[in-house]
Amino acid sequence: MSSLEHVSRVRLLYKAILRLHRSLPLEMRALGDQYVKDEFRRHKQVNPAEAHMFMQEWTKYYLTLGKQVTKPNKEQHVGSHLSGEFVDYFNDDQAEQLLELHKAIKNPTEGNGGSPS
Amino acid sequence: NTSSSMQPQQIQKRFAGKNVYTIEEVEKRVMITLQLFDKIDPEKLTKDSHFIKDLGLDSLDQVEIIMAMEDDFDFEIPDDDAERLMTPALIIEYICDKEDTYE
Repeated sequence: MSSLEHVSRVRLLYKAILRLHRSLPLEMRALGDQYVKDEFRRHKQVNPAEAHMFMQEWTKYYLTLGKQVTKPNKEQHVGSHLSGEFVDYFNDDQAEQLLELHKAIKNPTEGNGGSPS
Repeated sequence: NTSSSMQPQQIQKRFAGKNVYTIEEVEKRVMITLQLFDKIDPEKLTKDSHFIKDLGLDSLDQVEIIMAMEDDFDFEIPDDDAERLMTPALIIEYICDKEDTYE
């Protein structure tokens, strides 16, 4: 795999994901676009093994979301659940963060996500 | 400068449902789109600025620029072509080539 080829593949995936996000509801798209843009840039300097995993996971994301957004509106459901096995990979900080996120979603009135109001 | 004299009948003509542009119109639209791109310093932007070498963008920014052009002109640019469109001038030339432009 030459590095030039790699750059082309990254460009293609990046573009394909941003294109696909156009089928999402507006707020989801805004959030998703920003996240993709940031994540791709955060991973510019990673080693080949990490780059490979990065591409693999985002390709999966692209394929999953692609199937979801092409379904008729009524059946449309975006996203997928984290498997228990996957959560096992999380370190303590990540697990705690996930728990906080879960609480914030379930009780949106409490706490306001920790920001002083 | 002919731009003020052609203002009244305003921008693109349509032909068989397709937009038809003059070269000046293509140029203007491309430059305006680029000036609005948040990571480009409009002060530094010229037709020959290289997105990466002169404007400090990365190749993902360039992908976003190409997508903005595709939206603006309503046609797709294959990545093989897109990869070498590294200056505004090259984009303008490419679009004029693909679109029906008239003098």
